[in-house]
Amino acid sequence: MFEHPESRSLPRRGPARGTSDDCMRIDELLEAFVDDELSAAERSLVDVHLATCAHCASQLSLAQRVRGSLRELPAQAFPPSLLPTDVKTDAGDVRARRGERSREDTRRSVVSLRGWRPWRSKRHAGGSPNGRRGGRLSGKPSGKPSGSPPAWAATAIAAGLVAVLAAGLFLRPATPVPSHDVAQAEAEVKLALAYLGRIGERTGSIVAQDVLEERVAAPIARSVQRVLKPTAGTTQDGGP
Amino acid sequence: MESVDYQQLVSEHRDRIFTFAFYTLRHREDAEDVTQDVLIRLWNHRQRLDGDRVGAWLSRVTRNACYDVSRRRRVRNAVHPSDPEPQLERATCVEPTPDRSAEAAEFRRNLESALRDMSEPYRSIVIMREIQGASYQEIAEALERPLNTVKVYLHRARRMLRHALAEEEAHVRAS
Repeated sequence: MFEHPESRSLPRRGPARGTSDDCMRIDELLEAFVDDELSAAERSLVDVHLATCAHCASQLSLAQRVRGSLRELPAQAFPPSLLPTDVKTDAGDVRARRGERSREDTRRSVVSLRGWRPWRSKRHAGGSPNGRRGGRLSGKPSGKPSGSPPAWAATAIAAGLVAVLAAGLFLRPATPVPSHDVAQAEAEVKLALAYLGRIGERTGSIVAQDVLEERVAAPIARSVQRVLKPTAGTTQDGGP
Repeated sequence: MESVDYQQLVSEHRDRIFTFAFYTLRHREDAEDVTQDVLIRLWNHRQRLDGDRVGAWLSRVTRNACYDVSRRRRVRNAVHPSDPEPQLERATCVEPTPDRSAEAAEFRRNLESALRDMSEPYRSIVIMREIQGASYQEIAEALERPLNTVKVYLHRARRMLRHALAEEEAHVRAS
């Protein structure tokens, strides 16, 4: 797996055979020899040794084969269907029409680009809201049967909960509610909105299910439950 | 940088970004996610980037994004050890064909495995230099290391691959 630079020391393995000092020295020069990056003196040293050492000659052959095979590994093509096509139409066309790029163009383009991202949790969701990934994925079974929901879905759920809470707070003015509960609910709404903002900034990043439930959904649900449940005869903290 | 330039940059670099991510993560969908992330970052930073160094910047951002994905994999595996490991993919078809012997296919498979198991920064350097054909200068800028260090690391990395393949071959012969 991927490791941070310098997190692992280089294994200093030598050749399996040909363990003379000369062979070990030549072994360290073979890759530079293959790349033709040795000085004339070093190249001459390697040439002389290779003429008399079958093991190092075979290692040279292997070094050449490794380099050749690496260069034959195919470049991978990024699927065009995953490209942000909205950016082309929005920013390009608008700018061409107006002859300049306005702040509004930039904003629209960014929004379009961000909108391109959320369905990328396709292998968990099994498709996309706009169908761009659905066809390909439907034919390719996912390696993981379950996982985090797409970011747009999580955001939509959280936004819905916030809306319900807001309705509970502001559309029921006649219900007496303890002021500290209101303050707490307001604080939790702010927290939820802050998380939504964060999610919006990182639209498309995988939002952990447990984080959403613990830090957004659960507090909001508790607040909704508390607010919608009338507290008879109490309008002040600690009141009778 | 104008939007047209952005599209041009995407056309020029998207496969390169994806190739690096694929060979680093060995998982196609993770590599697609990383590529999308990097293209979004390119869009967000398009006004501030130096046109001559976009390639190195993209390589650096891609590498960091791959590192983040690997880290999330490790965390996920630690939290949910029962979840199956993602299936690592190979870049090439290793089925023997008339023009590719079984021995050559086996060699290619062992080479890919050795590359996958290689530590950083050696793997990144090999991918950038040998598979993507990047210049030493570009690699040095991407990894923020001196150019001579990159050369030494590349040769060291290929030597590690060579020794790993020689060991594998010796093991097969012995068995």
